[in-house]
Amino acid sequence: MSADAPTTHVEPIDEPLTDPAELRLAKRLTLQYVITAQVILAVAGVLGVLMRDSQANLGRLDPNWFYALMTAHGLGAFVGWAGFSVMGLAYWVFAQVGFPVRKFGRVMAEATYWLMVAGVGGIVVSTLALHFAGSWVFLYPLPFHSAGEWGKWATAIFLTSVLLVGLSIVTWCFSILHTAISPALHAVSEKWHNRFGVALGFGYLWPKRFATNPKSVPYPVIPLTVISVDMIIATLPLAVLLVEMIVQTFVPSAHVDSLLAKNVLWWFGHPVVYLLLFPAVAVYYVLVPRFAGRKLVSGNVITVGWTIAIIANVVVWAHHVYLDYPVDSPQAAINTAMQPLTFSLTIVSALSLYSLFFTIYKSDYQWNAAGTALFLGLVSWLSAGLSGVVNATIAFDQIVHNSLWIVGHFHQMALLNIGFVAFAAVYAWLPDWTGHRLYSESMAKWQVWLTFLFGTAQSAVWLIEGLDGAPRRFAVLPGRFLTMSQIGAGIAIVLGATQILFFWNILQTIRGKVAKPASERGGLGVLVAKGVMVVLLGLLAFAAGAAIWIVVDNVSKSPATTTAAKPTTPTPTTTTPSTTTTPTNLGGGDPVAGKTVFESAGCSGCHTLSAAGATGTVGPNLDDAKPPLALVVARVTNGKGAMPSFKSQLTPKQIKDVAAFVVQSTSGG
Amino acid sequence: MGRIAIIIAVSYGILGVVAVLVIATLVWSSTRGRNRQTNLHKLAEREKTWFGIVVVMLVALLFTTIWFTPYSRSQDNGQAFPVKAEQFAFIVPGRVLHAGVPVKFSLTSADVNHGFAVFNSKNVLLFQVQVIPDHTQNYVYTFKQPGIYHIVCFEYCGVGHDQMKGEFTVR
Repeated sequence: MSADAPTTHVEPIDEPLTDPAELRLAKRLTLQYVITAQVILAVAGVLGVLMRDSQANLGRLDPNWFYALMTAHGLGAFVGWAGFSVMGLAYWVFAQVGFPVRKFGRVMAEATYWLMVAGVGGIVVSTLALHFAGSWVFLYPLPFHSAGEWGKWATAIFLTSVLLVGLSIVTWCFSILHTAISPALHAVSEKWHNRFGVALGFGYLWPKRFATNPKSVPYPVIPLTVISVDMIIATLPLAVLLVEMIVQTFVPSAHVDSLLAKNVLWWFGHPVVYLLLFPAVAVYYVLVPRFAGRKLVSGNVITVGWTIAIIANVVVWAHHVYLDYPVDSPQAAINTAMQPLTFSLTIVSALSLYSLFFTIYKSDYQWNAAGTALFLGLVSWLSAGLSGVVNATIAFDQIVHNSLWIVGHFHQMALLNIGFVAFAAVYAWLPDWTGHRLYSESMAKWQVWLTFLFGTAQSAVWLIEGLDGAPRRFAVLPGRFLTMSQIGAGIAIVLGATQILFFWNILQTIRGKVAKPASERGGLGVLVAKGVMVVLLGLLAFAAGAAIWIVVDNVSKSPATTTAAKPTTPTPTTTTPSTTTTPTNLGGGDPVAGKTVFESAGCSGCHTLSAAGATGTVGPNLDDAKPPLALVVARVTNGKGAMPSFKSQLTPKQIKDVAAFVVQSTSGG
Repeated sequence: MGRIAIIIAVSYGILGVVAVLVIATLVWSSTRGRNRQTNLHKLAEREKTWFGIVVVMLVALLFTTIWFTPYSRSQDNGQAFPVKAEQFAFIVPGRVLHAGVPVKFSLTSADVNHGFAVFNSKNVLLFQVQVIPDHTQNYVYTFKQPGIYHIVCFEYCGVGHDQMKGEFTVR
């Protein structure tokens, strides 16, 4: 910090736009983004509940369905809902601090919207209709190794859709930068690079060099500018990788080093988390002071934090690959350097939380639905930040990496922090955008509190399961986690149902309806309404409890889902895929027809399988190997090593049948 | 739960309790203590103190944990034990390992990224590393107890991922 920095904080300008045309544009853009994002939430939320139920054995999904849903849910909820919501809210934040969207910014904002809609649409089609299940991080080269579960076109459409989403992020960044670096900054210098520095908040640190008149840049502009710079830097290498992958879909000889690809993915994958967080911080900076009835409590140090963020945000990617350190690469050195760099990024959060909490401290804070949502969002930010520090520490990451702990952490961050900013913004500003009063404040409060309680409980379940060694991205978790998964599923169902309150409130507000306030409904009416609500909630809790109890009871009696206790064999086998945990899952194949296929296709020539009387010794002994269904389908379809591909000889149905036969005759004991 | 998992659970729990207390104070102050005089400039100035506290805490965490970074384990030597990961199986050498003697796992992948997580017979996660195509990942570990150890794939590798398991014996 320079010596001439002022010792007291500078009051930023906080005057909203007044020009009707400018306001109209900001309203339209924001409403368009935010409403579309909430539709995506509805779909992604249902997918999430279905996955959780499947893991808890309440409606078990076929593995391909589970993983296709997981792919769609991840991208849909993270980018399509949380990301898209705060990207839209950025335009309203600008309107609140007097920054109009000008022509280039508007064109880019429109392009962003349509690219995002097309991208999310393509992701839905490629996953739910074409079965692409490469997960939402599509880790290279997984999209090309589908084990026969999805085809080239599914891969190509998926990758193209992600590319569209990436381009949408880049056009949004241009739109935001154009809006931020504007005359509304009141920068003394006309030079663009000087204005750019002002928009990044440098004026708080070097007031002479980055002078403004009459007042400093509004705080909310700083995180928006920072993230726009970073996301351009972060997204372009991923776009190149995506283009290569689209080419490789049709030209299999194309190749990229897997470790390089993994680094490129996370070069984008980390900053994209902040594409959600930083605009959300901008919303906090606008709304928390408003509800507290005072300016944001902040000095100049917070801008030190944002300055660190510009650099640190794009140089911490490797904390996602802490557990990759092959001997022939410099990855170990890179990863080691990333731990302190990642720690430095938490300073931004720590300082923002300080400012926001102390803005509320001893104020006349308005505990309405929006104000409460913001406060609970801050609480979740704190707890998600603490679990994030665990992930950022290499010594801890080797235990929690890819466990359900991580899932618990990012749901706290994305759903309970960023999501709560979206909820708060909708409750606070939907009346401004539509010109209608919020339908029901009390319904909004119920939604906020229930979502916080059940959302936190849901994350707690994941955090505990993760520390106990439960892996993430498992369609079927090891049997010992079943009870926890069932508790989690019960919580997820209530959490999902709670969102009906949110959607109904939006819908009714847009329609111009207003629920009668309690005072107008009279004493008895209120009492009855409250009584009914309590009874309904009690019933819901009872039903959830009963459902869990019934399922736990049934499952504990079923041998199929108990922990797979492995027989201790004296001689270790060469290949040891385990006994499958769900012997009844034959992927829709007919084992009886499969036996005929096994005998007629020549499988017996190479494999031993007692159920077919086969004694071949060229390939693996299937009685010993007990291969899982997906492995058989993959090997029969594509072949591997000495095993030929049977794709041209057998129909997909025949392959499914023979796989069902092999699995049924080897896994049942 | 393993030792590190317990450390994480306890420290996260303690910090959580502290955070809840601080937050409760905040809520109390902004619902009961309305219109009380507060020196906002002083609070803004104290941001610097908070900045200092955060930096000190992070530096302390860095210096207490960095020694447990596992990267030197890829360089050490031990009984050679090459494992090949492929969709959806681990191919392990058919021989028994000896307790108390370092084992050098050399991990390669035939197709996509996999995770190599080793659990003991009590389902405690001992260690995990990633197995990445085009590269060899080494990891040296000394098993203290004889028994059967389970391998679980810890990186999503396709629709058979949750069935990708393996085991080996230590005597």
